[in-house]
Amino acid sequence: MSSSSSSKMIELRSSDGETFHVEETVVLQSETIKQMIDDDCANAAIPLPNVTSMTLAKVIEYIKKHAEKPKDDDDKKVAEEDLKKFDAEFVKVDQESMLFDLVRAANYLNIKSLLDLTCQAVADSIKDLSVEEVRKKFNIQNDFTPEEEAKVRKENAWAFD
Amino acid sequence: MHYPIASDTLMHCVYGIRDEAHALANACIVCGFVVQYLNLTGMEDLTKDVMWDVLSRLDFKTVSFCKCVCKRWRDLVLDPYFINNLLCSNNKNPSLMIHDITVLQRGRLKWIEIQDKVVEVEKEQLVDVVTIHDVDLSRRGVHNQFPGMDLNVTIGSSVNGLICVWDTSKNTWIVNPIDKQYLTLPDPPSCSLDLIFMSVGHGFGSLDDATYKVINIFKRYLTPAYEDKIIQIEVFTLGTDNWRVLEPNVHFNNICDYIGDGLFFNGRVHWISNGGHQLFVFELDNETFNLFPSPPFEGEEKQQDCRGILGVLKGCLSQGCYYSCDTFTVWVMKQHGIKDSWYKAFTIKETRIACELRWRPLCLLDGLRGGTLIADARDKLVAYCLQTNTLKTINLTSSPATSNSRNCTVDIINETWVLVPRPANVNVARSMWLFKHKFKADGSSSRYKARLVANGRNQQQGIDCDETFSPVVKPTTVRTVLSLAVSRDWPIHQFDIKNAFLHGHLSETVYMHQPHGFVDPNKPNYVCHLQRSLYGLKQALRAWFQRFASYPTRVGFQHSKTDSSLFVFHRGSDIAYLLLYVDDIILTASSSTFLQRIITSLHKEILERAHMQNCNPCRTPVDTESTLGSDGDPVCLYMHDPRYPHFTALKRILRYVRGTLDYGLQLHVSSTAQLSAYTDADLDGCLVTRRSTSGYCVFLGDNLLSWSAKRQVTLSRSSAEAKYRGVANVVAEAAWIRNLLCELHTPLFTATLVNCDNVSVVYMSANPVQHQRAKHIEIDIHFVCDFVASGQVRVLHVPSRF
Repeated sequence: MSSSSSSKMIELRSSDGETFHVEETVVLQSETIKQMIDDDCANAAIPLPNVTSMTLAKVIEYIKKHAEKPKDDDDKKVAEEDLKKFDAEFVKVDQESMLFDLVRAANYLNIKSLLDLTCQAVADSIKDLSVEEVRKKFNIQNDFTPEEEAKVRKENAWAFD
Repeated sequence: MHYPIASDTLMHCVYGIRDEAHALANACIVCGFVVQYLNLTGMEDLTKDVMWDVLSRLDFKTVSFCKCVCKRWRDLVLDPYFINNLLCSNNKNPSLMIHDITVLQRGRLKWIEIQDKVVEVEKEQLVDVVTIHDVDLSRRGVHNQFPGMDLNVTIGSSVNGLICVWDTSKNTWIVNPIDKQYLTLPDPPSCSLDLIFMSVGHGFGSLDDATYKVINIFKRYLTPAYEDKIIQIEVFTLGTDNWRVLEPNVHFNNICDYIGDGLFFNGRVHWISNGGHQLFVFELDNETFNLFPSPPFEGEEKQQDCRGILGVLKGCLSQGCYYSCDTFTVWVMKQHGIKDSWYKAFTIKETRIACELRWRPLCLLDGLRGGTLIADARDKLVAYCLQTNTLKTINLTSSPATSNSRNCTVDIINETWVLVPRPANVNVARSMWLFKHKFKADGSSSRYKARLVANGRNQQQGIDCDETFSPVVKPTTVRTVLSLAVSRDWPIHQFDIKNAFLHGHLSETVYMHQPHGFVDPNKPNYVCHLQRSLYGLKQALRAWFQRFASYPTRVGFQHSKTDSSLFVFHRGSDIAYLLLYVDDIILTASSSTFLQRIITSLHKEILERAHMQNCNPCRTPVDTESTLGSDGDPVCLYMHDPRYPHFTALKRILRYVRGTLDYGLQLHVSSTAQLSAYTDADLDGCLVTRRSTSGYCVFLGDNLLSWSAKRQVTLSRSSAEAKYRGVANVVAEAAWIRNLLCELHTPLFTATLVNCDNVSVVYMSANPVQHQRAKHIEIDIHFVCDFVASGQVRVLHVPSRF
């Protein structure tokens, strides 16, 4: 089996029942799935109850892109540039919820580079916002009472300059 | 608004369609749902770890600002775990990468610095200093000064988390860690003086009000030319509401511009400070004030450095020594009787380490028990032994797991080898470092241990090792000795010899590569010619045993013939037994004064350089490695070729061992005059080999000494035969124990009683009748009969219903 590992396909099933076929070499970027394969649990479709098909499609797009190997050094530089561009585009999602889904999926599947990328994207989106904007953007309920909020703001006043 | 629709239904609504345009359109239609749904997969849904990952990518300012978003975010930011992680990972300052405890400490310290910016921005805002306190400053007093800041705010803290804050507006606060309230102290007397000060408020003491002290140290310039400077110390004791001024009446030649770490011990406050050319240890004992200045530093450059130095006081107070370090030199103050004196401990030659040390206020780790001082310099480790005033070890570069070995015990390895040029055609053993975490009984980490072990695998017999056998004491001997000691109410002492093997002298010539990380830069191609044995060498055990065994015989102990690891001393009414089990020694003697005398002599003779640890007396070392069988088939027989059923059987054994971990053997006070044994055997109990299993147990009085359950080596044709062999075995064991007891000067005068449930065995032992079915076990029969005839053994019948 190991001789044909390059072409071996792994079947992933998203939370909504859709199945995806991905090459094993590609999917090994996910530590979680790698462990499953190592433990020999990957013969049937791997269920991913935490990941929706839409997110999974995105994740697969990402890992496929990152699995491409450049042929020579010249190619390598081009590929790196290309990958950077791709990453930048990749995190430009319309909805914040999609980004969170990606973060969660990356966390669950344990894909370090994707987690780094998406967490950085979330962090970047927090920067230069006001508290209200953050709450609105991330749809966070303000659970401080007005007094509490005044207090906590006063304590951290220097951060609002 | 709340929509009573299951979230997975919503998921289908929104994400069931893969085409994004469709999804969006759909989302518009079920707009209300979408909002609800977004709530579900919003940030709230992200786990703590992920949130911390995100937050750690932000700058400190944004992190602070994030505290205002919602309670969850606030709690996330204020979580000590996060703060430590943030500070460790984000920090460019390598000084934060010190060993665990210090990381925490420094992490907290750093947090104060962050928070201090709050103080800087809003001068009276000290609330956040209180919230720092959530982060727990408990371990040790920390203190920091913020050089280069306009506002000279100083935060000192005490052992149990009281923080004292003092700023140039001359206000002093104390923050109580329990109710998070801060108390403003009355103006210190120095406020009224027209002086320039550069000093601190320092909190020392315990929560017990009476002992809590705040200390301000001021420098007073009497003339504008800064020529004459006098230090003034003000002490505030909580509950008295008064500042007390202590004038040490010492004219400092130099400026005392840094007050180092301090601590409160035995009702005294100790702290350290550096002047331009010296270090000072201050000691405040209620009313009296003592000052111990170090000798002045030499050289212009060093004086310059000294200003930037962080003098460190970490007391091995119990040993009466302080130590401190400047850029190039580590100073030690040690108590000699009542007089204290400073001396230069060691000099750090490498500039790089020195520079790192310089920025590392907590670079000196706690003194180890033996008075070893470890200085930590990022990837180097310097160990200094206070007892012998020698620098033992340096340079852990490229050693694996350096980060953990910072706190390691440096097994002192001097005199263990000499470096020689590598001879041609010799076998050179390899070595490696073993790193081990030692845990306390409650599971908390007690220390990291590093040990150099040699790889004895390449050693060849006849070339670099000869005999490798070393006797160990038999468990039965241990139990017999303990049983005797308990019955006679003798004191028992147990020693553990540290680095026992390093004491063994090698008679063979053994070469070893230089240990990893400790390669002499000047002689990289040299190899170590071992003088002492190292852990891992084949002859290590033997070398140690020989080294030790020569001692007891010299002082009058007799080597026992029945067990070569037993030494017996007998003179007049004094009796002492000494048992040696590798590096553990059990010693018992007929009186405690006599025992003490032996210990002292032992201490002088052989343990003078090793560290002895007294263990709890009378912890019975019972052999727990019993071989259990499943289906009467000992698993150990299949070790060369294990199969699946053996694995299950092994697991069963492990479960048994696990279930009986806390079982022990109790030794009672009982008469020691009677040896009795019980034995039984089954006929062809092992279904595979059809052999019988016989077992026995031997008691001295009420105490179990020896037991066994073994498959017999030959087939038995009748149950009487099987049991008779069992009796023969136990008689042999009992005879050995009798010999042992004889050597222990407690000979038995009664016959050993052997109990057996087979009548024919009893008859056969009494009358050696020739019998058709017992012909082939003649030797066993005669063996037992001889013992019975000589009166040493009596075989009795015990009905099997008991």
